[in-house]
Amino acid sequence: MSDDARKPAGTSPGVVPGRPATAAAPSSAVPVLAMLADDGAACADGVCAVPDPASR
Amino acid sequence: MPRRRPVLSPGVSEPLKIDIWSDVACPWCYIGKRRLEAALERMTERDGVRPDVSIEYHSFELSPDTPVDFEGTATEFLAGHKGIPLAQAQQMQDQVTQLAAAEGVEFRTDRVRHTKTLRAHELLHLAKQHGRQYEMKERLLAAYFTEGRHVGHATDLADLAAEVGLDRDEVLTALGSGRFADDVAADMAQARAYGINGVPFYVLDGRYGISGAQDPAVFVQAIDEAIRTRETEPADV
Repeated sequence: MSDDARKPAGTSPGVVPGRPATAAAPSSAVPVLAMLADDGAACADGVCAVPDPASR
Repeated sequence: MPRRRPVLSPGVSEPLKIDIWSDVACPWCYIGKRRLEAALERMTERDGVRPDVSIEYHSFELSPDTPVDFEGTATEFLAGHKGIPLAQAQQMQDQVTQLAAAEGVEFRTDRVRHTKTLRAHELLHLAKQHGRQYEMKERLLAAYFTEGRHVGHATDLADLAAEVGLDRDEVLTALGSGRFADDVAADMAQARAYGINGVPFYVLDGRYGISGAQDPAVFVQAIDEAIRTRETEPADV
């Protein structure tokens, strides 16, 4: 999923005020999450590299 | 109609739920665990009381196609998986190792025995039933990253489980029957529904997301925000 799909509009670096999601959820049981921060370092697809600051 | 979150008694509400999608073979998950713990410690020092949170781990297999008995090092797996030179994979591992050291975690990539983590996830579900999931998670991470223990075989997992107070025979029976396989699959399905494609991933109160091993200060702000809004906004259910 893209960042745009997960983050509420206006998300800025650092923690931003959260808000309940209002967009359509993938299913009725799963709400869209309001992201409280920019993406941090994570493992995806078996790769756990140190993120490039320029790409953050 | 929306309802407000239940108040158990005046001034006492339900703990803030922190659901964490994570894998065992995931260095950022280990680092993130330490950073969240540091955040909770900072809040405890600031407020004079530990924040009322409830933490639950959920399964996320980063490399489900990994053989249980993978022949080779974790670095070789990474190089092969990404199609990059071994030296580049080693450099990536070294960078993460240095960051882990800064969090007080010793990564021994020379010892790591890369494996499929499905059974480890099943064990974490069993541990949850016995109220020992957090301890089991820590034990598995240390075993994998620091001690070079194998975490893919039922017998090895049963040994580790016994160290945190679980019944070894029960673990062997559960892993042999695949009793918790559906729970692992359900966690993975939930992750997909949320759109999670990397771990660690944190969900606060079922509606706020935090992706990745954030700095403790970010966790503090996020938890503060979640607590503040849950007190002023209706719950979604």
